[in-house]
Amino acid sequence: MIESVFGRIVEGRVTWVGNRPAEATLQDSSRIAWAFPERTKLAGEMSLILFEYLQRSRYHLCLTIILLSQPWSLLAAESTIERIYSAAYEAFQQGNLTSARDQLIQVLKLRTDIPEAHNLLGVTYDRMGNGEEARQHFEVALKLNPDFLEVRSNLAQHLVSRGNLQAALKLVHKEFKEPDVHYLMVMALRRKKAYSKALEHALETTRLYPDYPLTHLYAATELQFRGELQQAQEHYEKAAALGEGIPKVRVAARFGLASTLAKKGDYEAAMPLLRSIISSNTHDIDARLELGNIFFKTGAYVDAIKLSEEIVSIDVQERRAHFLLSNALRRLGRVVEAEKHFRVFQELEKTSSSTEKGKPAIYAKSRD
Amino acid sequence: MPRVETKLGMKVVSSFVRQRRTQACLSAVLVSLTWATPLFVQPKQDVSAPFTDWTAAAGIHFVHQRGASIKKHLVETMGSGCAFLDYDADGWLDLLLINGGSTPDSPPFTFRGHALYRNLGSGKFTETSAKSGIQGNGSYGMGVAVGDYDNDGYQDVYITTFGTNILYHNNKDGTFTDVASVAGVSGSGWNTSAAFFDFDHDGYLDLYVTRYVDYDYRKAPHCAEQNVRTYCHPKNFASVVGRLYRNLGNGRFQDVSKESGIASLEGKGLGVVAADLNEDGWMDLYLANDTTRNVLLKNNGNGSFTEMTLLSGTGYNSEGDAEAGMGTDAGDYNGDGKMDLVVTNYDLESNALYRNEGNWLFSDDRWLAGIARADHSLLGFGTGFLDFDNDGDADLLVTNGHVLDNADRVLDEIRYSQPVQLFENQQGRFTENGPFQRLAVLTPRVGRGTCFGDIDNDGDVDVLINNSGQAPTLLRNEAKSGNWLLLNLIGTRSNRDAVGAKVTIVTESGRQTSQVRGGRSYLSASDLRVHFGLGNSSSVKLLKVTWPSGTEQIFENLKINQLLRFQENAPAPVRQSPQ
Repeated sequence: MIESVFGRIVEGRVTWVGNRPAEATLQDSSRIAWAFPERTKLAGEMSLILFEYLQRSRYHLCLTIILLSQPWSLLAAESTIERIYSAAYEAFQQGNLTSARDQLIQVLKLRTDIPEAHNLLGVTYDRMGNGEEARQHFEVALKLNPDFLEVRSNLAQHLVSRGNLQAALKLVHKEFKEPDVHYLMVMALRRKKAYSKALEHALETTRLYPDYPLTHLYAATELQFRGELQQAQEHYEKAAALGEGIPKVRVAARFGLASTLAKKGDYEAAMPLLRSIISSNTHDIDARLELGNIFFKTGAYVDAIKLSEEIVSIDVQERRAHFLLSNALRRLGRVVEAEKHFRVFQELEKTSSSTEKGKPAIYAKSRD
Repeated sequence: MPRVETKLGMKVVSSFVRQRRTQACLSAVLVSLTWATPLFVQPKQDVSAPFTDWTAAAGIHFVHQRGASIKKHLVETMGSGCAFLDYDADGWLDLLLINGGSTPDSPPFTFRGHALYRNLGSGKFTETSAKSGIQGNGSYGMGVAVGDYDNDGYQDVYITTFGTNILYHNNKDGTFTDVASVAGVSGSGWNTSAAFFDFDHDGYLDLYVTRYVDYDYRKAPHCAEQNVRTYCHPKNFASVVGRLYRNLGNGRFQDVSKESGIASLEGKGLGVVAADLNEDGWMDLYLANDTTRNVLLKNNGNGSFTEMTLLSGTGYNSEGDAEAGMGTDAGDYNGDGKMDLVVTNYDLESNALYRNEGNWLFSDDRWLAGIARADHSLLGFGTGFLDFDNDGDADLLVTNGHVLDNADRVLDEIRYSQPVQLFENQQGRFTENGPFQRLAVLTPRVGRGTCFGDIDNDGDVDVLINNSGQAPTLLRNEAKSGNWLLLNLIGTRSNRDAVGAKVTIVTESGRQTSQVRGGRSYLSASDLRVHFGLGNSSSVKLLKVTWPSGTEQIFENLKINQLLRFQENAPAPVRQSPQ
């Protein structure tokens, strides 16, 4: 394996000398890296130094090749890429799109053939409103891995959102079942913020394919958002039943159903659903918050406090838990403690406000 | 629903582990194309709608001027207000529409000023702006408060602006004089809603002025969505503090913001209502703030206020999010005698309804009460509790209209012009009035200030809406429903407008409570007379007035369907007939 890699490295280096990046080198090093994860940290740092060095001086080519032939340095490169990718993913999840973009560009400078990175960069660009860059990265990702269904879906959504339905359909028709395509259409409309059309399409899909859980779930979510609680409840119930074997759908549907029931004031029905989510995922914050709010609404302030404290023990930065805790403590006359948590809540509120500065500057809330 | 939403939409992967999925083929693709195209059906006008658009019939020709510029200064999209007042004391409600104005970047146009219309008592109004002198001072017009601040029997007018505010003293002859500078209430910066109320019970109306953000035309940022310039989010601007002016009783006011404790409360204030929320006889304040927490202030009765936001739970929604508060009102929607609070919010939020549980505790009941079940594409501004069908409970009206004049272009399915909503109270739960809804969707507007009052003294509440950049809407109530009682309270020891007075009535159907509130809605001032819908009740068995001075008067067995004038300490009410 090492020999093979070495050969590729030479090939990569030669290619690089010809003013192209050393894709091949890293491609192979990454494969090795998966097998030796324990060596990653030191190797990663070494790898970065080497890359910088390579870019500065071509005269040390031979030395570099020798160094790169060592397995730890190969592991290092992959580790570094993975670390940066993880950081980028984290930044993306937190809504820090600029940071995510920059780190993904760094990943792709180190290694250009990671379809997942191209996909994430595509989605990041899409969220930043840079459609052309998004499309290019989706296409590269798909070229690298034609079986990567997620990127196929993303590219198709992108094309639909720009009115290129034919191209989108060509892209997906070999990979998806019929309801998948309709679901894709729903998602594309939703991405365009054409929420009413997305809902119409989802509802029509639920009529045509009543056993397909995802469109029930989407329809329920949108209906709940619009305050159509009875209809939302019905679709959540169907999604929960149909998605029993699909953990993410099951949890989302149960949570949505519980939330809908709580909005209707049917707390007795909502609580067991939330408890079942919490018992299956001891770190679930949203279900705890929803249940805590029910406790608060029903005057069970001690239970609300207990649940809020559990949330804070899971994530001390969860401002909603401090808010609930503060409110419940106040109701019990525990003013000093309440004010302490309210201050924490306000501090966290300021922090979350400051992180929103990079978001679009107009008044636009999002369902995302 | 962030929890679910994160599981939908574009997909990314947290690691390089690839997922596999069963492959299959496609059919029925063309069917999906047709689904994306909705069918539109023209709704028929419903003859049973409780309001009719009376604007043209009333002879109102005002068109709001907002001075829209390519630089999209935020002030261009936030105004303006309106007022019902009886400036000539003839017993008929006149109306005032606040005009906007221009910014340094507005294209040239002839500014027509604010518009005062005198009610002729025949359903017609005639414009008297020029004669009255109420036309503005060059500052961009925002809101209005109405109150007889010098207790001379004639209502005065305070107009807030982006710039220098105006206090129009009523000269009792149909004309007004701007005395803001002498009175010390000119203010500065971006002023929005205002409320006259007597916070210190000295018998003179004091004044609270909400203020929005620190905005400078020269430093306004460029904001865009999808590469299209848009009005900026208020997060781009710093908060400012509102101002509390104490009426010294000699024609002058003193800025007591600092002494009262109000100066320490920053917020992006848009709406205000003054009402006694804890039934201690002192008027408290509730402030609707845009993207910062709403603020509830307890009147300590000693010239100071204490913030009760945290305890009360009225600052945020139940998830701890500050919302985009615009307008607000206080009213007893569940008939328990306590004043509840409503706040209009941004689209994709929901309007808030805080139920007063007593002892400064409120419960966010927007879902249980049903107002959150309305269309989330609407952006609420003016609002008010009113018993439009005279059935004895407080219904709710919400005026909508987006702030982005290019919303249709940059936000799919969010429209700039939006319908008014009328929520009918059915035993504490609100549902949209169907006939009104069908009518309103046909005539969407960019609604802003909204005021409430009985323009024809027929015992039902009419509504005036000032629409941004458009003609206003005067909605005449044609509900032809239950019995009623309209009370004109005249303070003698208390402030003459009786702001802060509390009225409780007992009929065969039960008990109702109302207060003469200050502020209300958005940038607007409503009829100060107290209206009760009585349903099928044939008399008012008991009526208790608690005046701001603390005086209590009880009257028994009053006839229904009449306008009564109650003077503080007078032995009996007098039936009032407009001149």
